[in-house]
Amino acid sequence: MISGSSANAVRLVSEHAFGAGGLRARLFQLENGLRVLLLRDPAAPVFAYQTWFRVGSRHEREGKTGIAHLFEHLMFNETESLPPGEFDRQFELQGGNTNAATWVDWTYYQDDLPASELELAVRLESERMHRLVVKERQVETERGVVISERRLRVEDDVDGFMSEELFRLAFTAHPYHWPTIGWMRDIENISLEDAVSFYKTYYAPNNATVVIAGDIEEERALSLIQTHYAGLLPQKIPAPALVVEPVQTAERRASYKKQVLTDKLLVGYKAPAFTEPDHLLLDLLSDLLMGGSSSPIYCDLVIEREVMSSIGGSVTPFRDPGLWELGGSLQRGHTAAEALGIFDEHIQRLHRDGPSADAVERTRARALTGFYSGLRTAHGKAASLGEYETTGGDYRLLFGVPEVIRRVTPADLQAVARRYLRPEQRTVIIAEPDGRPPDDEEFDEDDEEPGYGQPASGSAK
Amino acid sequence: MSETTVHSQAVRGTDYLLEENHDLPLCRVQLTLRTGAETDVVSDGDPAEHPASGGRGIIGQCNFATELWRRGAGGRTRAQLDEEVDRLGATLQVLSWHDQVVFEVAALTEKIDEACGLLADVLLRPEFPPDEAERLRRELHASLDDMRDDDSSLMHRFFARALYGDHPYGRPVGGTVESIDQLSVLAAQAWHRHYLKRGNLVVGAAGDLKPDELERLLARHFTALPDGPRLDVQLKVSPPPRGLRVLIVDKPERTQSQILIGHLAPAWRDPNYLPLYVATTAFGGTFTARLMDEVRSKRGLSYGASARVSNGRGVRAFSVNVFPSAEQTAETIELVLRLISEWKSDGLRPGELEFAQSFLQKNHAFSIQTPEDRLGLRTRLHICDMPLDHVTTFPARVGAVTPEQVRQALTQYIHPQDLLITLVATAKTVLPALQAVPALRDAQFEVVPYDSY
Repeated sequence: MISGSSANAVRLVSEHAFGAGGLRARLFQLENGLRVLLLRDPAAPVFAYQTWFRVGSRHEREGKTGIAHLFEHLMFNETESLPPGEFDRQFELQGGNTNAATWVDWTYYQDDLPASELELAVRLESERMHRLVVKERQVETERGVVISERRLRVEDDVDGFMSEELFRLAFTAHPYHWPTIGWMRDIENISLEDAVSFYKTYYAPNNATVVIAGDIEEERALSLIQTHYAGLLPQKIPAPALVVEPVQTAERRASYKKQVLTDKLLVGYKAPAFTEPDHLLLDLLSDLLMGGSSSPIYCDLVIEREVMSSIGGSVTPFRDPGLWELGGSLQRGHTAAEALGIFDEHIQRLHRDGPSADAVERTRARALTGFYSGLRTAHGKAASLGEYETTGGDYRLLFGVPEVIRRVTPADLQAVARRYLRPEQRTVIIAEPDGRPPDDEEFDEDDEEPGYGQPASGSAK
Repeated sequence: MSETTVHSQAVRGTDYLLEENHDLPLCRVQLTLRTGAETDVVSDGDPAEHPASGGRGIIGQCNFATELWRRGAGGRTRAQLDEEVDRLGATLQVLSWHDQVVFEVAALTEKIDEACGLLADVLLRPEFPPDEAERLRRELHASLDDMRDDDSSLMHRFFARALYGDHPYGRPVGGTVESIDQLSVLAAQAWHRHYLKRGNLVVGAAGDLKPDELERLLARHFTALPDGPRLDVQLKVSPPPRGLRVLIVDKPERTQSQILIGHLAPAWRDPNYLPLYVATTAFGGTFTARLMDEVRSKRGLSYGASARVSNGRGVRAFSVNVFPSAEQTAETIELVLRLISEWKSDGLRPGELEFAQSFLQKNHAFSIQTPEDRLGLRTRLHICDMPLDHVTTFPARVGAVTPEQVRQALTQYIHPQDLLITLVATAKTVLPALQAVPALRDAQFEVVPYDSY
């Protein structure tokens, strides 16, 4: 067993029980700063190997947006010992699946492999962390692919377009203003030098956490990690710009004519950061209001009045304060303004009376089921651990979630509604069918050109 | 992992499948009907059961009927059912497909008994409230509007209609603008009476349940299932259309084209399916396969490029999916047509067969990773009359596929001259360039508005 400060420079940082079945998550750290989070779970003969880098689109700047995501694409290309395409080829030959995602605070790379292939994962992931080859031709090819991805997710997808606009309007100073996939004009201008500089700056062991969950032997995993990562040199990681978004004091609205058959509505309220206790409470409130068929707002707008065909919401899991996003599609004959009016009545009632005890009880039950459902696979376990460690700063926060869910009260949720569901702190985006005469004069027509979009979540390789 | 097939006394001789796993306090119970939307339109139907159509049935009937079961049952209104499901933190779903309908509940172990009670109400005691039928028709219309905002869904809908023609797989499960208004409570009740039979169900559970616990659940809730035989219909094979066809689903302002190219392929249980499946995996089933390499890695034409052979009870499709920019649409289609032709004429390249075999054999572990995965696969095998040992023999059978079998499969089942090319695109942008593609010189072109179906 390699642990403690004396054994091969792999230090056990912390550990925590994972569920009631005897599993334990253990966090180690190498001398070069690399964190290694292990969870041995032999339920199925597979494992998930994820490398979480603490770099995302928030580390970019205007004019260079999209480089974190474009660089994610380049990571699948060529290394000093692997010709282009060989990285994925070796994984696929062993039955593995690889992918990656980039979002505002992080970029992560995921390999799902049969249990026999741990050495392959450690060797190849270490290889591309420090021996990636970045050339002009690769940047050009991936630029084309990313432009194709942007068209898929934003230009030809009204939901992607609206999400991009929401963040563009809601954040005026913070880097959450720009989309993770980047503005089209910036994607077109990213240079080879930009890519190389980005790699040297952020892809270092002291800026990453390796998470391995599944059918592994902990001792062997640590030994392999030591062999393949200990020689990597740490880098000086620039601190991200500490930008505090100015307090929003008035509602912002914009509406657009799009190729849709009915109105679409997207609203974002300023919301707490992932690490704040209010984050989970607001997430529970969102679920209470719209998460189930009996949830009051869903029930009223979708089932009873049939104003909308769908509505849903969630709180962004961002390191800095983000948004509570909610949105959906209108039914024919109804407008986004009408839906928003009904929604506001619910929020006012919530401020005044709070949620019912029954509704809170239903939310508790639904949230607990959802929490455990997300941990069924090795991949799900690794992703949850990785997100809490990377965005939250401590994977152990994950294990406190069920207890918070069990203890939440109507008063807690009423208080969080009063703190965050304030009209002056929201941004409203509406898409209307193209060709319909403008009849919603209460909306401020945004006179800017439509921007380019941010996927609602990270984007795949 | 622990798999069980038990001869249940509780539901009078019905076998059930159980995939045990006690790591998390979660359970799923499923009852799957062997009948799906394939029965919506029949040539020899009973006018008493399909009065609105003179006996032929109505597109969307199965989905409408089974969804309506969920909208009021066991003395509870839809709202009361929803409240109960939410109170338990459970999910209760009714999912209709062409060849099956899945009724399932998932809940924490401590709530699974109550959740099964609700599922039993939905199955055995639906009330078919007329106001909910009205509402459901309106919701189905609204879901068609939503579907039209999604180019990929549009592409699949039009592709299926053009590919399968009058075959049941060509009809949308949810119905059409015209058919939705004809769906009736009377027909929904008849559907329930006719198809909900014990012998027409595959019963299964996954997660934190032991055999005796499941047996007790079934005894408590499902003994009233009516007797009767399995009722899945024999699917006839339509003659494959001949010639190249280009179907443009015209939608304004598209910067990108969603493209699906394909033709019919053998059914899952056909002995030729597996060699074709392996060959298709080598051609376009992985990130580093030939198709992705040529379309994305070498040329950057499309974010994704994949080929697949779908499976089901009947004959399904071989298809290639790409989504290039509007300007590069003709170039990409030309490239894909050339690649398919080369694949058929020259077969697999050195190493491609071994690569695909290795990938499929080892990747199979992920198809059966969770108890829910294993239950889903075993249920599907029952529905499709596949060998039940597929779960364990698949890797070995993939490994036994020979180059000669692959050659035969490509020769017999891949027809580059008979492909259907469906694209959701802006016709005025892409049509002139497509008509100038030499490979499409003799193709039949058709342009249809995106909101016409």
